[in-house]
Amino acid sequence: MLPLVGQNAQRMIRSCITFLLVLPLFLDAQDVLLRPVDVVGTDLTPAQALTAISEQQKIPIYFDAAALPFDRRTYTLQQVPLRQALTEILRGTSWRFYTYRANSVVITSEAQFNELEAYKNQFYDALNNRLQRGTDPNSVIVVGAEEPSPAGVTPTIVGRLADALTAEPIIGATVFWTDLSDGTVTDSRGIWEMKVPKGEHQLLVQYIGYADFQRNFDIKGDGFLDMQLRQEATDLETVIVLAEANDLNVTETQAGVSNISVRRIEELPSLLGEADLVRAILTDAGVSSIGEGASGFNVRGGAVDQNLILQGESILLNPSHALGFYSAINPEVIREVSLYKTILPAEYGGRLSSVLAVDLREGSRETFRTRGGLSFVTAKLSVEGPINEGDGSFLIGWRGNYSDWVLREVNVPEVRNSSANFYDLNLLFDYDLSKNDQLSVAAYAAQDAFIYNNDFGFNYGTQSIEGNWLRTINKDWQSDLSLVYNRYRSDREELGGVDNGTLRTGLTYTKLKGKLNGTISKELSTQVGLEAILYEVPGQEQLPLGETSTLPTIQLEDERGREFGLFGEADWSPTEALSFRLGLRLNAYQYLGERTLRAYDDSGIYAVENVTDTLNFRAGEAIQNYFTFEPRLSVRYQLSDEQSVRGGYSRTSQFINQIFNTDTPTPQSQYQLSTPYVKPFLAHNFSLGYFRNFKRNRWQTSVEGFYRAIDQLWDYRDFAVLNLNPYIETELLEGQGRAYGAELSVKGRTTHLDAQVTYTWSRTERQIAGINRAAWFPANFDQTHNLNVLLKYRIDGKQSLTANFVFLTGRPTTAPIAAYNTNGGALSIPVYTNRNALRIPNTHRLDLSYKIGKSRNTEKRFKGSWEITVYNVYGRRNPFSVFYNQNFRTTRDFVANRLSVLGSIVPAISYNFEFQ
Amino acid sequence: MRLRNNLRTVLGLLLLGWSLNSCLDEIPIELEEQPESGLVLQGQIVQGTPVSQVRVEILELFQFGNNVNRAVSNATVRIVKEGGESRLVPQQDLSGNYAVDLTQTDFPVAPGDRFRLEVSTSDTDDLIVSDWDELQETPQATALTWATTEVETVGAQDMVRLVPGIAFFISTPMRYSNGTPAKLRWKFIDAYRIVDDGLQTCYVENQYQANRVFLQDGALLAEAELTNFPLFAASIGIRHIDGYYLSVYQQSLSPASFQYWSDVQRLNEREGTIFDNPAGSIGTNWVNQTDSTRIVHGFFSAVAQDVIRVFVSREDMGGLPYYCPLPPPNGFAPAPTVCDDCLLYGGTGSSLNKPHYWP
Repeated sequence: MLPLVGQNAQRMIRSCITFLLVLPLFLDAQDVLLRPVDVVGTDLTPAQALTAISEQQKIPIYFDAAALPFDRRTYTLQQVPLRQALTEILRGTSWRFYTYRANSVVITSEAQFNELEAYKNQFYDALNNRLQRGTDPNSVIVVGAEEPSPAGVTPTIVGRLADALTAEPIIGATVFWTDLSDGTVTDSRGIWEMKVPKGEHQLLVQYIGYADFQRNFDIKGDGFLDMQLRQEATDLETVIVLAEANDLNVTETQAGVSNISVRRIEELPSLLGEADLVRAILTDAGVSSIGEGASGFNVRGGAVDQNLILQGESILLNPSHALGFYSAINPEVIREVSLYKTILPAEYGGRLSSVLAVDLREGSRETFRTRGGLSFVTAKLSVEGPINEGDGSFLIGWRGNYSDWVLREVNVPEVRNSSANFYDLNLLFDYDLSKNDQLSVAAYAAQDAFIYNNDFGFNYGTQSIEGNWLRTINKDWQSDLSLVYNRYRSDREELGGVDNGTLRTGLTYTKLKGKLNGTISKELSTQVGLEAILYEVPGQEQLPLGETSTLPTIQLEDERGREFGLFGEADWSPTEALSFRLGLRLNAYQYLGERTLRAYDDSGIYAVENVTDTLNFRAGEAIQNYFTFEPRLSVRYQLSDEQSVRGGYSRTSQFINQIFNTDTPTPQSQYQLSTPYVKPFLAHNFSLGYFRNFKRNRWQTSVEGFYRAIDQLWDYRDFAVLNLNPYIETELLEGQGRAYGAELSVKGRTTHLDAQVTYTWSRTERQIAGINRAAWFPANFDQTHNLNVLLKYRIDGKQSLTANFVFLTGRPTTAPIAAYNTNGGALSIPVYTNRNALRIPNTHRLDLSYKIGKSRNTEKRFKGSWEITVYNVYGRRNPFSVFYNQNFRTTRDFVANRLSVLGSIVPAISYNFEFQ
Repeated sequence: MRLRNNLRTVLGLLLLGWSLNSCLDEIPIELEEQPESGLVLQGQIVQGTPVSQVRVEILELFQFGNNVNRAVSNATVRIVKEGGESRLVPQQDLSGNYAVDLTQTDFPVAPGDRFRLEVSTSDTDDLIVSDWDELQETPQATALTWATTEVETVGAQDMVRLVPGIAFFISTPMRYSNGTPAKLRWKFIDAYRIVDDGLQTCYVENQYQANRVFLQDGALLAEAELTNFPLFAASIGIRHIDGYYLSVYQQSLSPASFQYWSDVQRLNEREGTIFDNPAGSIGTNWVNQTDSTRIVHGFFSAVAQDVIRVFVSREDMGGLPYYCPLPPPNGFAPAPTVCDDCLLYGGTGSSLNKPHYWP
């Protein structure tokens, strides 16, 4: 018999059977019973008295009011311990009380209480006898007895597996019914689901580094198993790699989605000892970057600013630190990461190519824990723990660098006069307002300061705060409401000469999103919601610095826009083999006054000579409206247990763009809302793939093709002037784009080796009137071949070796092909090829890391781990870009020089620790 | 200790290399297709008193002789003033140069006039015509000054060090007489004196800083005037030993011409960092009216200019050591150098005659 927690609570978790290994759910916790309470009143029923205490002390007290006696009494209890008050209230009845999770009180019948007491004793006996932890392994747990499945229907068992200390989902754990020789693995949320025949079966749950869990179940109907595993020293030699692995590769309905675990982020060889989310994403098929030091990533032929990067519900506008070398998302606060590649669920909009949804984890509700790490130039620290005895939790994560001490020691004046600093800080709080209501608050601040040779510098940062209210309406419906405020500002500062000044850009937005998730039947679930975002782009600003500056103060007009998205989506599985995700998103965008715009003639060319008038718009006036109708569709047809085909279509739009005319966005990039002349990007996205698992899902393969037709796009004219330009449309040229390709992926796992190989062949092209005579040309991030090989060899339970090899086709560039001289021959004016007519050399790189993991000894409170990384093992000078010098011997020739941002081997050592 | 310092140096350079030109090295990149050929036409009419000059150079872009672009000869070149008046610009040599000097009485050139060039090639009979370019008035510079300073030089092993230098500053209005912002280009000619071992005195006069483009847009300035605006700084050397003149030619450009030179400047100042804007094709104001598919490069400008000069004497520089010290008595004769004949120094710019402005 499992612990029951009152009639109300029973209804709440009727189908939820909770196991907690080592940490029992119902350990006595006397503290709450010692709290002084007042019970004063006349003619109070027990239920009224209990309610008064609960409201007075904010102590959850579970009871079935209808079952309690109705006799009324007068109470004059003042500042008596809760235990005494409860005893008084329940005196003379057949009801008893006990504490649950140390901070709640459950009123239950005497018979049930006795049963629980016996069970508790049994538990401690088992513990004392070092038998199976958590519950008596010999007892049989009944599942689904309340609503047994009809004859002929196989019950569905859904489970959730999490770390007992951190509550983080355990991903990829094997869940195996030993007598059925059938099993699965947990997905990125720690969830697993299986059809299990009625009857008694034995379940074995295993995951490396955790104690095995083995229990007998009597399956009578559908049920939910909530399991928590505790880490334990594990001898890898004895770990059985079970026959079954995660079949999500085959069963997933959503097309184009990849789930990235924190473990995968941490497993990759890092640069200078800091694990990085974006580097983990780059191992996925269809994702690339133009090189080391590039900010962001490209997904299926999408530009960097076509990715929606969500930290929680907060849109990160600049996801990079140190001009692109680190992502600005701290892996310590990540629960899971989902990357949607071009086929986007309906709840996401506003970007053309992809959504990177980073789900933030909660702090531990069980124990306080501190984690940290040190490398040559970076440090990190996180602290987490419970609030109010587990009603909530907090998590504080900080990262920063301290490279200035290195720079000051360098014997090169330019370097010695430079500095590079950054930090980010996450503050996460979550609290259960009630059993059904959870409130969470996430605050985030990130700041970068970079100065080169006291010559120029960048100073940019993000501040964000997000509130989220999650409400469980009933067992089938859940609502989620979030409010986000985010502010990004960036300054570029010229620090010398007559150009002393600050160029300031930024963006502020406020976002409100509400959604309702429901399960209508086993075959049909749905989600509907609304999203509203108000963008405020402060006008770009130039401020002179110092007396020698000749720069004027310039302040462009502020811009405003608002975006509304109404979305609905249904997951429908008419048969076990066939499933659909059908969605629709309706976007409405408004560009708002107050604003002064030019009116142009009908030529369609936004140039000074075509200006016909100046238009003034009032504050709040809708200057331009855009509406988009965006169907979203994913279809999966399962050919067998180990193979399926999956396809999808998505219409996407984008109303805000990052304006940059460099190879990669820099902090000085500005943000541009869609205006009457700067049209939104629009795209049709298609994908179709075949997914095949082998060896009972331990080897997962796929081949997936994609095609994107971007029917509204713009690019920059040559020598575009983007800064302090109030008429940015004069620098843009309109056109269209397309991207297509094929992605191959092989992932597998053996006892000692994890392997992942991804390869992408793709093309990304544009056709723009005014560029290359309107012929199709490759985008500057078009990289035809993209190969990534990731191998991890586990030497033993603590040590591992990881290798990551990357190959990328050189990206297109524009090069001088001739020159003519002027100024008496002293100045050569180069003549360039068509845009992006050449390619820079290919990129390839091998990274290695050796890790000594932390101790699995649960008795140790302080644990440390080491990582030794060699980045770019063979010192390849991979080109970021190519820069041309004139050959002074011949004057007409140019010499190509590759710019290698990291042109040598980069070794690093880092130490991470954990204290609890 | 040394190891520690080396380690710090490596780490520091790595960190800075993230965003800067940490590693530039030569690589071969082949062009898959032969680029299209084209003509290069560069022309200028410079207003002067009493003579205005028209200078035109016509070259083939992809055909070379003696490692330079091959000249186009026997073309018919005509300078045209809006309203119909025109003059032929005759060929000067076989290097593609065409020139004519126009007196104000014969062919008046004044601010507000619009000019263009018409070129007929002899081999293809193409008629190539430039856009009209309007002559702008030139603000008169009020002062040209100098000061000693330190400048960075790149020494052995690419180490940057500071050496003594001289900086020049200009003061000038940045508005035309009607109050609109001026768009200026500065060009420099410097002249200096060298006395060789034979006590022969030479004057070397050449274009200076000619591998750079110096522009200033009055629309981008806080004030209507520039005061002591730094033009450039150079390390002190042979130029500054025995008398030095810097002449600044302040030219006003039309908006189109200014845009052309701005684009040239942006290409010229690319540094090979991740902050570089992408290169592109520089525009032209020439159109081949016979065959518009034939590419034409270059630009025609109508320019008015003002000249201002500053002299830096040997005394001003504190008596720097002579470049060519007299040989020691009874010593071995040194190997022949420019100190034996200062006319060998400074290329075609060296002369025994003083420039007309030299005191």
